[in-house]
Parts: sequence; C-alpha cells; structure tokens
Amino acid sequence: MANEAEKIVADFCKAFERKNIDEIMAYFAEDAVYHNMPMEPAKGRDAIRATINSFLPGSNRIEFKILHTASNGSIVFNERIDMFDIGEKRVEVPVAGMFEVRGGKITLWRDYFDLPTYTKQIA
Amino acid sequence: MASEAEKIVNDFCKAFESKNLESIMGYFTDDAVYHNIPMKPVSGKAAIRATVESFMPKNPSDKITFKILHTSSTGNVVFNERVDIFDQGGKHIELPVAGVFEISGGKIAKWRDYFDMQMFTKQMA
Repeated sequence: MANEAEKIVADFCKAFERKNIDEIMAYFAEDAVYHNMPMEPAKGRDAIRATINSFLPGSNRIEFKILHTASNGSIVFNERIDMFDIGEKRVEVPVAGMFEVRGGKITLWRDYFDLPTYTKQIA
Repeated sequence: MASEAEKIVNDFCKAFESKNLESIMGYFTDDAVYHNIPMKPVSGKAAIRATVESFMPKNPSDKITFKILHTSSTGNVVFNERVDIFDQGGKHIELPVAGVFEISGGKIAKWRDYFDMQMFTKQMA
C-alpha cells in the first residue's frame, strides 16, 4: 500500500538500472539537495547531475535493490543494497536512504552508508 | 500519529539518555540482532549488552542523546533518521545515522544502524 511519494522513490531507484541520466534527473526538483552523508551535499540540479555522472557511466550495471521501504507524508525511507558492476568487480553497498518528495519531485535525498565499505571494494 | 512500533522505537531511543543498561536491554527480544552496518552483526542479548556497554558514556557528567529527525514505519518495520550525540571526556561527537528496526511482540528483534564509521572515528581521535 505504497503512497504516491513512496511510488516516486521506488520508480526513481528503478530508473538507475537504465543508466539514463536525463531520465534520472527528471525526478529532481530544481533546488533539490543530494547528500551522500560521508561527503559534502550536492545542491541544485547541476551539482546533482555531476555527482550521479561520477558513478553512472563507469558502471556496466547498476541496481538499487530495495529491501524495505516506509513513508510518512512527504518523507520516504528505504533500506537498500546498491549494486555496481565496475569492470570485473561486483560492488555491493548497504544503504539507508531518506527522501523528501514535494510536488511529485524529489527535493531531498540523503543516503547513509559506510564509505570504506564502498572504497575497499573498488580498490 | 505514530504507530505502536514507532512508539517503541522512540521510547527505546529516549531510554539511552538515562544511560541505564537494564532499561535499554528491556526493549530487545532474547534472540535480537543488532547490526552496526560497518561492523559485524551481534546476536543475542548478552552480545548486544556488551556492544551497547562499549559505547555507553562512563562518567556521570557524560551525556548521550539520540536525536530523531524523521521517523516512519510500515507494519513492524520502523525507520528513523537521527543525530546520535555523545558528550564524553570533553568531546562533543555528532554522528548522522539512519536506523531500521524490526519489532516482534512489542520488542526489538532487529536493529540495523547505517552510518559512516570514519565520521565517528575522526571525531573520537
């Protein structure tokens, strides 16, 4: 029984599998903020596009596998395994994401994960 | 309009402020699993108690606060976004965390905390 915000976030996560940056960017509001918590937040669509482009083209395959999701009005949480096939490597990062959805667009995306869990796998 | 599961998790997070290990442990099922995602999961109350005790401030003047920013649940699964604040030994440490809890029979059966270990260790140093 997903609410509208939850459905938008689920569709957004699914969109990464197609690796189309324009399709992905269409989910964001103009003044959206994307914050990978171990790093500095990316503010606005240009900065967000650059951040996503830092990992999108280099991955042969991307899947954001959602394990659990819950929402409360405009706030959506999900627990995920983000999978990246990079060269011969399969990188898996356990993530908890918090999204704020307003007017049908993502205005805030905060991802909580352990950065060394990611960097050790791509080393 | 918090669900019963959300209320249990809110009360549990609040219980840390008392620094009372017995009170905190009362929230867990006997076979609970506590997983700080950057580390190995710990299973069962004895192991969970040891883990919680390891980061519980020791001096009476020390403080621990789990400040909840957002929470949401679906059935027995509760999410929260928090800033975990540790005031100990003259240091003030703030750790951004996203927690996922699974409630069973009014108790916490699973607790998974997502955070960046470096953010904690850098502040501890």
